[in-house]
Amino acid sequence: MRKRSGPTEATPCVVLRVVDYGDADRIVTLLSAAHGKISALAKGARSSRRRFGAALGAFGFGEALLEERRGQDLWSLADLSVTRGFPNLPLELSRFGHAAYACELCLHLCPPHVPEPTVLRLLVALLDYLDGLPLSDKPSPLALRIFELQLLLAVGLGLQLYDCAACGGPVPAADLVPLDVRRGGVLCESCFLGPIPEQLGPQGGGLPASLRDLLAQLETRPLAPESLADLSVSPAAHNLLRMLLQSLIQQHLGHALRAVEFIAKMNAFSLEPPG
Amino acid sequence: MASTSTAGDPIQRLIRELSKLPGIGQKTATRLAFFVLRAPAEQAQSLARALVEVKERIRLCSLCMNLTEHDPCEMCSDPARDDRLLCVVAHPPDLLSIERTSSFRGRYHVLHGVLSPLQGIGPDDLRVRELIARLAPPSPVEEVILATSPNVEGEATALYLSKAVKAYGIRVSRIASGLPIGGDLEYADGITIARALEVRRDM
Ligand SMILES: [Zn+2]
Ligand SMILES: [Zn+2]
Repeated sequence: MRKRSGPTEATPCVVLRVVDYGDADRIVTLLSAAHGKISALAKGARSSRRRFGAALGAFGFGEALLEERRGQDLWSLADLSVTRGFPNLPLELSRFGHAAYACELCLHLCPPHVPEPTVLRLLVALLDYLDGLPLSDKPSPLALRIFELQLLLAVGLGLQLYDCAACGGPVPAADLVPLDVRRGGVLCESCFLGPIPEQLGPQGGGLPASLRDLLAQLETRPLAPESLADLSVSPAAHNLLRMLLQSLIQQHLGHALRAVEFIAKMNAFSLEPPG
Repeated sequence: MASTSTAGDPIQRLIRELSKLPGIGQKTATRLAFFVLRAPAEQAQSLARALVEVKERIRLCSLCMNLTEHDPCEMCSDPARDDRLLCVVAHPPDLLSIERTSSFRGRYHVLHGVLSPLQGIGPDDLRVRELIARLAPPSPVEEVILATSPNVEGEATALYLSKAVKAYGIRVSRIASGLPIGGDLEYADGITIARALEVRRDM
């Protein structure tokens, strides 16, 4: 009875965003294995919970049955069943904020309709890590750095660490190599004229060998509790890492992220009773 | 030839204003505008008056933060209601849903939203400070019922508030969630069934 106009096979996915649409429907944006980032109309999702149940919340991982609507960017969500709900995420607001930040990055950095199995695996790994953390533990900030780095790499926006970002030639190891964030990575001797700056700023400068190695190491590091446990990075190196990744992300997004705004608001707010 | 400007055209202006409403596109706005045009003059005037009055006369109750014409609102000034019970909801329609059941006789507090990292909504964007002010001693409140929706953001908001409320030594409870009455176990999703098991009760 259903009007067939596209594929209807089930595909694993994470719900990135849910927006109400009209009185009865919702529009969900999913990161799916088969179609990458995709927006779909969930008909009746607001009026009847039986239709999609609890599945239709943010962060849920499951299987979606999607139908293409001929000539339309917005597909149709025929069914969504959640296999992993990440029930611990809302229990603590900093991991909730981290999870939202990761979903928001995927929402803005993944191109639509391009299958991203690596990004999907990475996102599920981060959600799994945050969900499985004991409630008394703060999430490791390195988990987010690994996520950012590997996400940028997967969608083709990663920093070039060994080949010159301008000519593609090799950039041999040295105490300091020139890094230009706007051009997308390190530069070789013939493409970078003048003395290499001693300092590293948001737009680049002299990249120390230790930080170059750390970046390369984190690009392949599995995002899992064991792998994070035996990783130690000095606060100074972490600050540089965060600064570089933030400026790289900012350059591609061009706008602030709501999850970042949320985290700032939570940090600024206190409800301690007086006395 | 001079182009016919439509900026001042009352019909176009009405269509433009109507299409700013949520869920109303250009087509629907046009249909509504022509409906108003064809309707009797009194009907159009009554609609216009209602629109103006809702903005002029409706404000937030200074106690419960619900929308009201009189401050404090009817529910806050009703002496028959139980001061010891305070039910916290996200939005005014949620309060109406609970009121319709006639099963709650305590007081209310409306947050006007939920914490949402996905939308950048923090506690200062909600009526959280006003809620806490109602709990500071000497407060008649003995139990706070957190009635935000059982979705990710509603749960996070409830957990966040529960910590703040408990700091005042006040009992906190959460509305139960699980299978709908008349629902079919077979068609319920896994998360709902798991939650229903979690909040099971003795028989
Ligand atoms: Zn070069
Ligand atoms: Zn009131």
